[in-house]
Amino acid sequence: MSLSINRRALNKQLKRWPGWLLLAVVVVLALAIASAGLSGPLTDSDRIDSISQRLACPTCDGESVYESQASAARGIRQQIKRFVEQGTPTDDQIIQYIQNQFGTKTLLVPNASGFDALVWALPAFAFVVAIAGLTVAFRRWKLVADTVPTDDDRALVQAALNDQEREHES
Amino acid sequence: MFNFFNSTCVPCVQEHPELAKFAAEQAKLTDGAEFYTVVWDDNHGAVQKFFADNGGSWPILTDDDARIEVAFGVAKVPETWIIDPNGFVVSRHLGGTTDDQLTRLLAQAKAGL
Repeated sequence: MSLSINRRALNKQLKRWPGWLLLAVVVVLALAIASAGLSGPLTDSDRIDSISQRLACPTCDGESVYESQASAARGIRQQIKRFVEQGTPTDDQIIQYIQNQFGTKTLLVPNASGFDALVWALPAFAFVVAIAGLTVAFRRWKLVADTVPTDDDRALVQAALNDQEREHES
Repeated sequence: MFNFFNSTCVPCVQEHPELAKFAAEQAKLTDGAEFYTVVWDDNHGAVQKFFADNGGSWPILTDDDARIEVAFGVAKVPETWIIDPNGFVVSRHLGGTTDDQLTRLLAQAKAGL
């Protein structure tokens, strides 16, 4: 009897998985569509702003090229404008040029490749590990909660109750 | 040689007499270095007045659109660059400099050619 109840609980759990999978797929798709829609500025001006927001002003503390009024930042904005007007294909190429001229400290957002990629990969890895850990922990708790008392367990409890009753009577 | 300059920058003003001395010495030599000042983000009149008041008859390049400044990656002035006759950068000095230092850097650059 206990075996059949456990199996039922397991089946119930398995039936829930497609729902979770479907939800995960929907979330991933929604994020992918949203990020694709957000990338690619509409106008040259938007593109200049977007690139200059990714670069740090080389002579300021914590200011981007976009917001700084320092000479160097204004010079870099003019160069970005020239590149955009010339039709330089990608933002990364423009950023790479500025980085080559002024050094890596001009990069406000770390690269998504090489050693810098760890900045992006490690939090994602930690998140996945945490989710996996929580899933395992929840499953263990659930299995413990689903445990059904055996006949021996019932007999033990009954014997204890009988002893208690006898004590009361005496 | 390129010297990146701004008339409102204190180290630029401080090093100017040394640059004038160096440029005058180079002008006397048959193989002396050509000296240029590059100005970005400054008032043209203020620069002219500064040179008139403090001396210096070498060419002044006005970098109106920051093209030179960005191409050289100059974030702060003053900076002095030595470029060989083939167009290769042989020395870059950040901050203020002196006649002696520039003479030494130039001699090292020529020795390395």
